[in-house]
Amino acid sequence: MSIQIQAVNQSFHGQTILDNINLTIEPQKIYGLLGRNGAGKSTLLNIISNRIFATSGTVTLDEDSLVDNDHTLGRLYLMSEVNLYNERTKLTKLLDVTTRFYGDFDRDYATQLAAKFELDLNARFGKLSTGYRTIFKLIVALCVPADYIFLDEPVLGLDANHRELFYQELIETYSERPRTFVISTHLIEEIANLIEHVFVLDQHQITVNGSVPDILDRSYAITGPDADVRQYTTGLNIIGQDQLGGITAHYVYGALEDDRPIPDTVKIEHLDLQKLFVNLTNHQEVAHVN
Amino acid sequence: MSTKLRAVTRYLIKEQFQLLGWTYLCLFAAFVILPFLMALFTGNLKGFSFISTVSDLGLGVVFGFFIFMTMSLTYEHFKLLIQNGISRKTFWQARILTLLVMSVAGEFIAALYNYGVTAPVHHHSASQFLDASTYSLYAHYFGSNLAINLGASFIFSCLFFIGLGTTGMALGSIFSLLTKFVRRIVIITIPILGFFFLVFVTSTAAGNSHYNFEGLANFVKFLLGYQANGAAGNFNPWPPMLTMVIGSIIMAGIAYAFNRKLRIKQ
Repeated sequence: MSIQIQAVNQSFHGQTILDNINLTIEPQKIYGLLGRNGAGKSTLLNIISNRIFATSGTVTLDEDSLVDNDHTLGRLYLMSEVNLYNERTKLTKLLDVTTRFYGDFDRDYATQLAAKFELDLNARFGKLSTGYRTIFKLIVALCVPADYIFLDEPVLGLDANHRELFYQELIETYSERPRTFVISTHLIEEIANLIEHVFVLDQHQITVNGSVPDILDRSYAITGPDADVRQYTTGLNIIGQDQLGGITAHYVYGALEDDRPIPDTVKIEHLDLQKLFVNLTNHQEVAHVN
Repeated sequence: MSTKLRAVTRYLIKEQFQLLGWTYLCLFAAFVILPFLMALFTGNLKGFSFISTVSDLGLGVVFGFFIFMTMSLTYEHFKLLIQNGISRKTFWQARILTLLVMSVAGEFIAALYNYGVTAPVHHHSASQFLDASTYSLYAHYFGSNLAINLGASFIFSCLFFIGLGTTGMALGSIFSLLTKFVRRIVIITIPILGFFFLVFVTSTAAGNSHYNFEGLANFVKFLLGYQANGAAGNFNPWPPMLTMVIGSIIMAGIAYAFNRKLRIKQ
């Protein structure tokens, strides 16, 4: 019971977009798909949802192909940055269309959410601002009876209040009806407490794939006087560094050596997800990801 | 038929009927109401005949354009359907079913209009109207039984609309895969090439060409059901009907092949 992405490659005009992607997306989990601009996140989500084709590789849901397959495609929903709805169509009609094709669409919940977000369902999709287009697509994503929901930039154009409301609703609906959410966003801090598992897509490859606690357990900020920090981190997997006056911070990803003595002047803390991501994907520093 | 196929087909048919309604309404507004208003404001109401205007709307021709154009609209539907978990294959199947239903419905409406409005207004019997219709070349092939000839005319027109629709589907699917730039080039180039082709054909028909097109002409005659010893009205409708069926199948196949390659434009 999972979505299996195996050896997926994607290139366009000779340029590699995705390079040998292998992933498993399990049921009833909240994932974060993180990557810098142009890393290939949207392309990967589009391939999973069969909106575009991979150059090679396979994507299956419970061992059934997702390519041109109503049965499997009907079990997932991708809320994308690209607007695929007709601009002239009223939102109520778009909800009707979704109900018609997906089946048990939760119309009551959609109406409640529209009221909470102050979205007029009689408006035409094309008349909405960027933020309200996002809100409409989020409402559909939260109410659609799919097992796997992919959210590509789900808070694009939303103000802080609406973002907060969305995260609350996401947690509530997930508690009531657990299903898989894969969230691709640049606002890592905001989703850090929501996601259980993280994929980092960097330079067209998956460089990190693991549960959030495990990953954060393996990431450290080692701060102190420059010489002491350098001495302690020699040979460790340093993914980044900062310097302020005489104080140096080295960011390390991977296990520390237990037998290595820690100088009194050196402080070791765990990184948060955003700091880890920034350092892992900042290629001015030499990062080695294990 | 799967639940999804049924849902998509119903959706497309409903949408097509709504569009067809709007098309006929616009036609009525443009060719009846507008001339009426013009006549009213220019003080020429005596020269305006409401009944005559209403009876000359040519619904069959309009439906031909309609089915070709709407069936060529591929990407708009594709993006909505893929957003809602509908596969390309189901989309294609639903469009074929929609085309069949709409062609029969469109021809039914056109026939009702032709024999219920146009013919009586022009004081024509059904038989006289049939003799003046696009089916006139074949109107007596099946004998003098009017019902059989009307039925054959109905099937002939349905097949024609299905052919137009599948051609629209094929072209629409191909166009959906092109980039905007290439699409513009094609749109500009095709009429120019068409013009030169027309000049070439005209020149050939006038005998100014050294090419021998006798074989091609005979083939076209065969496709049209031309009978060497038969007058117009007694042409054989089976060859053109068979040609339309085969042509529709080929066009539907082309549409299917390109439909399978549809993808969301980034």
